[in-house]
Amino acid sequence: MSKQRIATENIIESLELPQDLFQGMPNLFLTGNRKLYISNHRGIMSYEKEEIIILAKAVQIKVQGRDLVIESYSKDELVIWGYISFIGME
Amino acid sequence: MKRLLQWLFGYVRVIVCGKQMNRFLNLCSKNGIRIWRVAYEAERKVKMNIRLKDFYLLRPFLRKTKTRLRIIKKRGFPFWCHRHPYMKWFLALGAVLLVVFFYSRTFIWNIDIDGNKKVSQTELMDYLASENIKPGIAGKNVDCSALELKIRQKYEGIGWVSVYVDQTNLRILIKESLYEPLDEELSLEQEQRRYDLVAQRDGKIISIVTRSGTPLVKAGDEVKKGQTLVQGTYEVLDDTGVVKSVQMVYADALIIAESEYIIPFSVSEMEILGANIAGNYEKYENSIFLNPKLRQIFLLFDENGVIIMRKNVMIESKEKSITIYIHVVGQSLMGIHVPVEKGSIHESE
Repeated sequence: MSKQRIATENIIESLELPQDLFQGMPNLFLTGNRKLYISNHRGIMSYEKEEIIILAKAVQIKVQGRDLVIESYSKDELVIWGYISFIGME
Repeated sequence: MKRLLQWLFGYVRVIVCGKQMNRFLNLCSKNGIRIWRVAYEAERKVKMNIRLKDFYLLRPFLRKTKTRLRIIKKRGFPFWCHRHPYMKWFLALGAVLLVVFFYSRTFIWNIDIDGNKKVSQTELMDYLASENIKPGIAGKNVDCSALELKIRQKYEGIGWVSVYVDQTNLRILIKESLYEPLDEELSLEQEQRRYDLVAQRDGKIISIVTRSGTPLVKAGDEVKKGQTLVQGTYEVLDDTGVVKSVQMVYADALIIAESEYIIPFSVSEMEILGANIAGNYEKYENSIFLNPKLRQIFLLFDENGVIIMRKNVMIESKEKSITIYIHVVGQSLMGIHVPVEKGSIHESE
């Protein structure tokens, strides 16, 4: 991480600005283990039977589970239905 | 709502397969193509839904990512229309009916008038018609407040009036004032006049029931033509039984009388008449009974011998004329109303 980027993060944090808007960070809303809502994503990286990897700024979100269905997939939001067992970031 | 829109515009469920399937999905979403219900089918093979209008935009992406696509389901209104071509006429008819229905709602089809006692319904309706307000006019042409003013100005007896449009009804609520306009001429006439009931022809009273006025005859009396039967006065007595004042009224009574009608008919003519009336008659020595079983038939002739009513009849034939004894019922037959000037006493024989 560059020095400039850390500086920007610090400013945003100190001003209590929403990070998803100003840094393009992904927002995740999880409802139980059934529904996952992701905004500010950058597309799907891989789509396997029991694993979906979603690209976002700075991180890759790995969603594992069974009967995973992408309920909605548009430019700025992505909704996953299914029985989610694991969410990880890389 | 979302589902309904999806159905309305139509969508297809497709199977996409190819090595760069992920890239295809990303390309789609980047270019504003909405995809939903993406389900894993097999290795590098997914099912998904796409809007019908987006379907034709997919071709460059498919070529770019070397994926293949196959339609498995077609859903929505456009496909449904294609499957049932006659349905569009049906829907068009429904739409036309809806338009006609809502158009007809803008008119006034009924005028309700409520609360009027002195001013009659028909009078008000005629007045409204003269003001060009009748069932079938457009609702926007009715100026309610102007109409209220007009009605109040036209009828003095109406103290308060409310006009409003309720859907397709024009409702007119009226409150009439207790104050009565003084019509001197009319009241003077009413005071000065009374109406007596006068015998129309000779006869014998069988029964008399007076509704208003003072009866001058009683049952069993013989009356002559022109005799007053019921006098149109009503005496108001004070406590000692002395006449305090006399009110003028409209005499009314139910009088049954027996009267003699002489009809210049020959027996043979009478027979024909009887046959025409009853369809069945019997002839005895001097009389004809119409309807012999009951021996009761109403038969009434006016001066010219035209039958106007049937009653209990017994007919005796003489040489050239027939005398018929008839029970006559009712004031209109036995008596006529005669207006009498105030103060004068109608002569009775």
